[in-house]
Amino acid sequence: MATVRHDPTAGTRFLDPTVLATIGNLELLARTVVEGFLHGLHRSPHLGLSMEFAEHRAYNPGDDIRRIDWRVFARTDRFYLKEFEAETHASVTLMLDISPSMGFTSGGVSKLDYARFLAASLAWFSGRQRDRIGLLTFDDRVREVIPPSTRHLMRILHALDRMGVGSGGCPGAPLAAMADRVRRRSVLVIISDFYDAPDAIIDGITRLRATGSDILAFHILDPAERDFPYDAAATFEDLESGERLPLVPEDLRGDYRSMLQEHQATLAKRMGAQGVDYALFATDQPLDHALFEYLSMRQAMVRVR
Amino acid sequence: MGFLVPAFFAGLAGLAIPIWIHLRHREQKGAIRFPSLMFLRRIPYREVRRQQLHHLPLFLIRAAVLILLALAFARPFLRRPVAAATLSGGSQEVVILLDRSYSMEYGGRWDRAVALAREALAGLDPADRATLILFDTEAAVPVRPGSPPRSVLPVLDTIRPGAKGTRFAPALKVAQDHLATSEMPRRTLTLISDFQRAAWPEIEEIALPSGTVFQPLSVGEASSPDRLIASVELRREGDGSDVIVGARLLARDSAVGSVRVSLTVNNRVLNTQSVTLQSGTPLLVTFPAVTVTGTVTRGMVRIESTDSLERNNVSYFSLRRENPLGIVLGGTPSTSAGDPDLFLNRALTIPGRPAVRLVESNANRLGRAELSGPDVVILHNAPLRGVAARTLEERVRAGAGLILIAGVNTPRDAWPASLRPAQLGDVIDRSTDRGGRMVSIDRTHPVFELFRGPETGDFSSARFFRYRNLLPDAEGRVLARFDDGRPALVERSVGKGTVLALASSLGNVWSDLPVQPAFLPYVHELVVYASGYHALPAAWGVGEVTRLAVGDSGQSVVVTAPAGRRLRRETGQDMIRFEEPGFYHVLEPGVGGRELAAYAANVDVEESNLTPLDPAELAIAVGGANSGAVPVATLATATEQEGKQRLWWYLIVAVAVLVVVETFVGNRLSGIVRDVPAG
Repeated sequence: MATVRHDPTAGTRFLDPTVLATIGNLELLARTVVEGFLHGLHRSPHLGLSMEFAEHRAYNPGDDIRRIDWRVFARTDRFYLKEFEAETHASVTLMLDISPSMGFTSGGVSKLDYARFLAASLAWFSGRQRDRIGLLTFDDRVREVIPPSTRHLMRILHALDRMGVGSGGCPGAPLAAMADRVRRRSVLVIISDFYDAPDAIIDGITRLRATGSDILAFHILDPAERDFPYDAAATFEDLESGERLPLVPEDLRGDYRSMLQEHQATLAKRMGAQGVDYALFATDQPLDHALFEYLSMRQAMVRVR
Repeated sequence: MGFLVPAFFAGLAGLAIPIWIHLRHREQKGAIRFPSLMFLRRIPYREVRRQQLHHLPLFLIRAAVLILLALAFARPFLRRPVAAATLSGGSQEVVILLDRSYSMEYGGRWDRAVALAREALAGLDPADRATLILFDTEAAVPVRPGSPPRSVLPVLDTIRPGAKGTRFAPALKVAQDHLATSEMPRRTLTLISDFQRAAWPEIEEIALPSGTVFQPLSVGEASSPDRLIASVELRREGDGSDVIVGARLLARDSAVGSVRVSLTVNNRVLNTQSVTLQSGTPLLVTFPAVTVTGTVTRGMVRIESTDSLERNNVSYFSLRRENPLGIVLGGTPSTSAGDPDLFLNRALTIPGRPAVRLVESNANRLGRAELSGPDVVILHNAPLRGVAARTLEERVRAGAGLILIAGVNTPRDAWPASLRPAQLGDVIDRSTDRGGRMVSIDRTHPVFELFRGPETGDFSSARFFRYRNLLPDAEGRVLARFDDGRPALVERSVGKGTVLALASSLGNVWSDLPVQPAFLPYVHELVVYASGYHALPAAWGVGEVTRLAVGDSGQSVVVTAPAGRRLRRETGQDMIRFEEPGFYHVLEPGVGGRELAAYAANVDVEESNLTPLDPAELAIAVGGANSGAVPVATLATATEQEGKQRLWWYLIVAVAVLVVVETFVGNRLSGIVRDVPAG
């Protein structure tokens, strides 16, 4: 059983993935993450994308009279406007990679658990601002589809709660296949470890972009995948294919890291060229990093539109 | 680089055998489960301390032979985006879509586009058929479709970019229809554009006919610095005669720095300011108030600098003097319980557009003098009889608005049959069941159109504790109902005017609607609709159409375009279409005719967004997996390109040379081995 360290100075302790893993209920987890995150955000200078009430200001002729706070008028006999942050009522589809490689963990939470926490938090977050929210899971093919709706939040949380790893597969082909399931312009959030050739991934992304959707790609990695901290020679087993390879890690570490970095750089560059926002997260990072990234990307989309 | 038969690369697997034999492995411990060996697999395995690789040059030569053989059998070729027509025989139908939106004026885009079109036409055979489609937001075919290529070429010397935005869909639809009817064995669609993302806002149902080669040719640049006026905002002050002008300026890419921006009104420069633009950050420049005088006030905001796209450096607007709406509120006197008209009064006195001149009066004392002037009369919980009824009927038939609000002081015969939209019935008391709600609302009606979007006004939270049962007359139209199905709001047209009847009073006794956020805009919309007020925009977009709002519809006027051209207008035709940016002047007929109005037209600012679209994305969207349409240089042309290049032949020659070298080196090494003296 994991040990919970209570550190009163840690402002983001509720967002630490290891601590979150001790919360059994995914709905409670999502609510804890999002509300805690927004609570902190309101005190910060970074007002994010939400439908949160921000402030009052005096009414000026020409302002939208729907924004006048009529109750304040009753008390003060003056007209004030309620100012809100930007509102969207977008269709958001979470696309979650559940291939066996996502089940990997080097000690903390697995990538799949991290992805589940993240997806649940984003779903809760989107539900909170009345977005239509949907879920797609995939391994070598599309596994589960919950179409976007404002009423599907609980269904999605339930699906995430009982989710396990699927069978082996690369994300390129299922991403391309998913384009046929996107019926309307949406915000697509792809959460995956992107173990596939960049060409295949970009091909899938291009097909998704062709639906007119905005895409956010969250690349999830375990710290061990990033750092490759192994020393002793050993046989490595591929979680996707079961293939075994005898290796001397200390000889390969440099090459491995540079290839991984090149892979990330290629994905970031080519996705950027497609107008796709790409962000990399390690499972030891607090979830608020990912949420903040999500907010920033959504804000950028609103500005672009 | 492409390969016709990439399956032959499987032969390279044979290389693994000698490599594997050369490597020796240490004892392994338990297996480490790792997400993917994708990268590790690619790293050549080196067991440094024990690895011995003898005769490296020979090994490399033999490996090269194997690799080159596999390469040759895979039939490589160099991908070149050339028209298929140049590689294979047979006549073809070629459609060239040429973007002539105003963004094509940027830099040298237009010249490059025309050169590409000329090149594409010049490369065709006389037997081929060509169709040139010029497009912006619309598509036009300047020469008869399917003409010989030579007859299309001269048109390219006569065309220039227009002032409109870009939409791919109309042009692609025309091209699709034309190609679908073509009987030529081969079909090619060439799209020459700067490929702005805004030109393809969403997926359109376009699928090119099977076998069509889609050839997108981009003339856009990687970076496109530009300064532009993103919008002009006008805010009326006081009684509406003073207008504050604000302009949002934007710099894209590296077009940052100091610029001068000026406001010109009626051909006089009123104010000039120097501002510094940051890339991608809109900057609001506010000018001193402009006073609207006379019938026509023409304004223009201009960035006083030259850049690669001039059209979006200026924004035009026209202002008209607006008289405030005259409203008479006929209510009941205040009592010890308070003023029953308080909420209505306060809602109507909010300064806004249109400006309002409110007169509050006791409904029982309203006479001809009070009722002959206003645009809208509101009778709040008061009957309408005698002189007031007759005067109001005349006013309404002439175009005024009347709002009748039922309450406890309106008996069944309080509203005359010639004006009322509905007959008054009993008082319905819903105070025992937590009040009724207004649920069935026609949100397509102008009164409720403002509340169509989500979170723009929630009527369902208002509770109506008492209301009158309205029985609509034959001409009455129900716009909203309570949850028990009884009408809440009924409308009727009388002559040129409008009468609205509300079932529940707008004090805070019969309902709590007055304390709900929706109350204020609801009252505002009721008044504006009843008055027949229509706010004329300060500017229109190029390509838009509007009805002339000058005098009677039969009045004869002359309209001149910004360039001075006089527009031909048919008798009784009072519509105008804006084809270019600037001012369209409406004049009285005759020499030196008085100017009656001016209409401003601006280019679509969205067209200034030069963010590029990946042509491959468009190719996928219009090609689709099922249509058979293919992008340039995919499998349909790969065979032709490979056949023309024959790179495999050079590879085979290289293999032969390497085999000779291998024989020579092998013999040398064998000789060395043989020459080694025995023990």
